[in-house]
Amino acid sequence: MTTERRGEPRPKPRLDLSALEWRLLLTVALAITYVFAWFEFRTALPASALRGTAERRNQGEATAPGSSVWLTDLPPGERPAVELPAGWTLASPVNRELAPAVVRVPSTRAARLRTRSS
Amino acid sequence: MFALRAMNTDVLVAAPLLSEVDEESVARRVADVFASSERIFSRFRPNSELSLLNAATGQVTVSAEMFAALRRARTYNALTGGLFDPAVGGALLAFGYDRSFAPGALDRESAKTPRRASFGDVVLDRRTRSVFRPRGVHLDLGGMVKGRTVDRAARLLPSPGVVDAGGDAVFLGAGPDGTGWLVDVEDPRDASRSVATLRLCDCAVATSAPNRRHWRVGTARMHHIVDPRSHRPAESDLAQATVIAPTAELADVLAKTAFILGARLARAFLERMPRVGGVLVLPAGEVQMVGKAMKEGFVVKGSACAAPFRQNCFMEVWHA
Repeated sequence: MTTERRGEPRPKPRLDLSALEWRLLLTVALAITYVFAWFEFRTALPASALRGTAERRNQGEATAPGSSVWLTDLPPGERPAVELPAGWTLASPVNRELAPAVVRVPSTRAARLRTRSS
Repeated sequence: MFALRAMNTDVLVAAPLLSEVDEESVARRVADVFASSERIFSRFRPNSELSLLNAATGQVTVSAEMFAALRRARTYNALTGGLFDPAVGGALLAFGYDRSFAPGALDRESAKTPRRASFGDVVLDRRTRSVFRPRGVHLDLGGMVKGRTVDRAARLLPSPGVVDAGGDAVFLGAGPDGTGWLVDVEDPRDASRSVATLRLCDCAVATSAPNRRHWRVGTARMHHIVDPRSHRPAESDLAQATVIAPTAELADVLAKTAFILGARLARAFLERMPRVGGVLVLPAGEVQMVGKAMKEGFVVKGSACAAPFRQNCFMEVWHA
């Protein structure tokens, strides 16, 4: 003879979710963890590994010891002597010519202009 | 009013309501804009970005400014049915236009046969901001970039103000005295005369004609407005096309297109464009005013202004 033990009824789970809902919940949790971890590791990376270092260098951060600077950006007196390997030459510096000169002309011309081919 | 020399032309800058010191300061900033533009877009500077792009093989990542200009060129290429085509740079080189123009400097006895090229063959990759230019395709953004630079420079000026780069000009406001900017349209047969005078406000103007920039190859006369259909200097029944438009960039592109199209088709083409007007000059000297803007604007037969100016209006004043 078998006896069936009848205990107390099993309590209903607090989160009554379907299998699909559980999967969605898990995916969201993993995504949040991933994003959190990415931000954490990203800020821990050295500055040189991040994008935009070139811009920062141009904005003057390159003056810190150990950073790099363009030779032509240094004052002439502070430029170190560079010994080039045999057969090498220095390329001409970046073209930073001045803007064209501006001259004053009689203002009577402002009242009447001319269009033409040029 | 201040002047400077850039893009092989005289650039005038005027902001009549500013003090002389402030006007000079604005003119200096305008000079910087032109210098920057030439560094990127000049076809005649070996180290400009355009020259490097024209010399490169394979795909090249370009500056944001270059990419924006090329994308705009693509828009104009479509708008004009391919008549505005920066790929005619190769034809200009073949005909000897390989340095800044000076009278007589480009004359030669023979020229190479230009290789057929189309701007449609140039691939612009927006995602990587890179350009793929097939071998033999040389780009020339000349007039469009001049107009573009004038537009950029004009944004530095208060109203009323004007930036005029050898005929490509932007007019802000209604001139020094509030009655509009008077603009003479040069007679292509005699530079000392004008065929019409426009009274303009808040718009731009550009003129296209072969009368100044031409040279000789053997016995043939060459000029700088190349028809991309033939890859030869355009054989137009127009002597000159002047276009009034909201921007100098658009005015320059449309003026060149109108010249290539010739009188009849140019008329139909410009009539379709909103807020665009044109002054077409035929070789015999006949002057035709075309475009919706001309009809919508006020037409006066003198110098007096009968009605108050509206935004983006312009009017024509015929010479007696």
